[in-house]
Amino acid sequence: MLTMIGFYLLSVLAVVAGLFLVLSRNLLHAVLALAVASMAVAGLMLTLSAEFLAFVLILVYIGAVVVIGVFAVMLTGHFDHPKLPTSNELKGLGAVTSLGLLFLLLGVVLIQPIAQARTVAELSVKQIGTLLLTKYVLPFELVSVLLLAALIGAIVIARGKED
Amino acid sequence: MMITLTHYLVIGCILFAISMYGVFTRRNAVALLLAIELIMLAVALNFTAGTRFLGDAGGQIFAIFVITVAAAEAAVGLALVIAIYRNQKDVDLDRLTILKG
Amino acid sequence: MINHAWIIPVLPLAAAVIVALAGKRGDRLAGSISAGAIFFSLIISLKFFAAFLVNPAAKEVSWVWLKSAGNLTLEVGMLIDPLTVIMLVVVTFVSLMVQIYSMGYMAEDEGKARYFAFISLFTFSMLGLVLANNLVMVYMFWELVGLSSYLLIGFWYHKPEAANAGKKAFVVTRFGDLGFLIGILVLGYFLNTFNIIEVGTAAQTGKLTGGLGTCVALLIFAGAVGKSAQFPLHIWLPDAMEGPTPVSALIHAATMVAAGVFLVARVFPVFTASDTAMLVVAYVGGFTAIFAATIACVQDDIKRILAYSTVSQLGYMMMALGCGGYFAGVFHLMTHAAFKALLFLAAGSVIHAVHTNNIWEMGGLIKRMGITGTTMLIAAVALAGVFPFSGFFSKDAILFAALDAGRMDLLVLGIFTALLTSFYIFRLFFVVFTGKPNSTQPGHESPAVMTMPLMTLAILSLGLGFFAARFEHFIVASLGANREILHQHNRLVPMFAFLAVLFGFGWAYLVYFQKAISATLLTRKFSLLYKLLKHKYFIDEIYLFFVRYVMLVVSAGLAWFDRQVVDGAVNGVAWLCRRMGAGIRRLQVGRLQAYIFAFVLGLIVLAVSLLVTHPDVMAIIP
Repeated sequence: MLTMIGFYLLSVLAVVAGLFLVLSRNLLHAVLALAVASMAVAGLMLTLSAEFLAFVLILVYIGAVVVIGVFAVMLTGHFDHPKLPTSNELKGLGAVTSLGLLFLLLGVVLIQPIAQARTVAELSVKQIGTLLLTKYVLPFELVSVLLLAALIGAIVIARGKED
Repeated sequence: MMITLTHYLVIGCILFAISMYGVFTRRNAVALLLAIELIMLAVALNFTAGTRFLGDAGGQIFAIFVITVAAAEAAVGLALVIAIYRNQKDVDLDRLTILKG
Repeated sequence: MINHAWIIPVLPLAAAVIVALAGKRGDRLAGSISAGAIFFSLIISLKFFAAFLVNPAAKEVSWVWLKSAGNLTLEVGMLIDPLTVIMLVVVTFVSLMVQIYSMGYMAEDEGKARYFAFISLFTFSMLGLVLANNLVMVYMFWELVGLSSYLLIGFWYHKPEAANAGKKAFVVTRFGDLGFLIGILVLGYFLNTFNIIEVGTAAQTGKLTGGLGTCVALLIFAGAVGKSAQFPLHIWLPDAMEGPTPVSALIHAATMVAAGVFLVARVFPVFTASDTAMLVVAYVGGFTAIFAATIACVQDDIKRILAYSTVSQLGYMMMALGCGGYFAGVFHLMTHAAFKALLFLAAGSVIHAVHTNNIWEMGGLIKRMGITGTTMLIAAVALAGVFPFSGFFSKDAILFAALDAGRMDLLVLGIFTALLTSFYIFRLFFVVFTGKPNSTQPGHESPAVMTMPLMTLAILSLGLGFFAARFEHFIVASLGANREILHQHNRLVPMFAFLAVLFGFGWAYLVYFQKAISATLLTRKFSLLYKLLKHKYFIDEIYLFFVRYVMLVVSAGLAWFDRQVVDGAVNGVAWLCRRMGAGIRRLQVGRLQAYIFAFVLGLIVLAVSLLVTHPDVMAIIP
């Protein structure tokens, strides 16, 4: 029961934060909305007994992505321009397409009966660590390289021509 | 009434569709990137739910990878935005059309 | 000895290269170098001639040049037989005479070095043509000769007539050369050889019979028609007179135009193998002989008269060959080379003195130009064929050949041509050398350097005929087969011929010396005929008409088709691509989100269509 209340509260929070992110005029508000959405999703993950992932999510999204976002907003200036519309002329078409996409996905999810596992699986941090370094060691290494490349790339791109 | 996989998937889908709308419509490049981060978030949630209800550890592992990619994407994407801003003094996507045919 | 024959053509080539490289600096020495080289060539040629008089067997030396995958080999080589040595001596001798003469004639000319380089190049090509042992090499030198001829006709290229005449000569002979080339290729295809001796043997052993033999012979004859200015490709030779007169003497009277006759003689077995081909050769030659002679009777330009005379005499030679008179044709080639070169050089001497080509602006020159006049008279008599001048013997040989072949029509034609020849050449002589001197251009005798060659050639024109019998044995020996020399020693033929010559002479004497009959009255009486002859039977006009109204119209049609339809199709494709690009380019709006939108939309459409058409894909979800 508690889980259910938590699930619905967090769900509503996530959706509202998402809408806010997409619609808000002020970019700083949008960044904050992303932080709220991240926390809501992290909460949802807790209801799924995925504590490790929840913390990682908060760490990465709020600690890194949101902070970088704030930096970007600050650096590029005029994050809040009341005269200019926040969205382009694709507004109507975009809304329709998004709704279509939503209905498509919901159709797949709702109509198709998904075989629910009887046992509810839980994954401890230890198990995740073991899996990452055994069964998933290759993707893990690949993703590490990707991260390194992204790090170097970001530095090179953001630094520009002058050294 | 139990909370089932379907509930989580529905939430994921809604978040995904919302962020897609953002991707379509935001004129600011930074806002576009934030919307993309939200997509990653929705996907990570779905994967996590998969582990929980389908009993496959791969879901959570994959969610970790998704989060990693999201972080990398945020770093590179925002670096690009800053680079574009330095060159064009603008991050308005409607005006960044120099590759127009 | 044969191994050293290559020196003969190489000497003039070396002279040509040296003179050409020296350019203007070598102006003074150009003539001496060029004439010196040809002098040594003449010496060597004479040595060969002497050697062949002792032993007339043909000698060949050759190296393999290219070997094709089949059995066909291309060789580089020389074939020397009595015909070759005669041609060698004729070419080197006339060339030497002309070059010595040119030193006087061209003394004042700006492009002396160029002139001598060209003339040496021509001599080289002609000697190469004569020496070549296979038809491919013959063709190569054939074209080189044509090139030198083009260069020398257009020597005074600043004169538009000269430049045009050069082009005309080149283009007109091309028609014949195309046939020649095709003939060579057909021959190579069927006989697997280009070697002249092997071709001859093949023809004699009956490998070239029927349609194929006739076809090959006629194709080769086409080349000869072009080079030897036979009807209907004769039109270039009179125009070629725009070149310097010594060039006309060398190339367009004595040597190059005789190359056609030489070619027919060289592959004579190919012709004798086909009666049709022989007939064509004989009648083309006979027709050309009388046709050109009639034109020569009314021309005003001294060089053009001689040019038509050359065409006529070449026709004579062809007629002889066509009647099987191998010796007659070659012997006439030889004597003609001497007296026609003399006629041209004498005419050049006259032109040099009075600075005009029009015979009516000359007159009474015999008093001031004794040597030129006398030598020209000798040449004229020789051309007319009066005993004991050389022309008499060769012309008689031709008439006998016609008689031997049983072609009475050609015999009559030949005798009538002799009449006309006598008429036009004495008309020329009387108008130019007798009568009232022209006051504006008194004229004067040419320097010794020019009269010396005239006198040398005059002696030859006079004396060559006495060696007719000697030559006959010598030349016929080169045919390989010991052909019987049969003459119906018919006394009537020379008598008729002599009467014809006398009649022609008398007519010319009455009209142009005594002026007993008015020339203008005659022209008025026969005005239609006169006009026809004056305009050379309108052949040029007919060709021009054909080119202008048939070829150009067809070409214009084709050009229109090319420009509108072919180019239109090409341009249309390009236009279509451009328009499509312009249309598609609008999709490339350059806006990131439009691309993402299109991408997602496509994805949705794909997913929906997949779900609709294959609902079972859902089953893969556990």
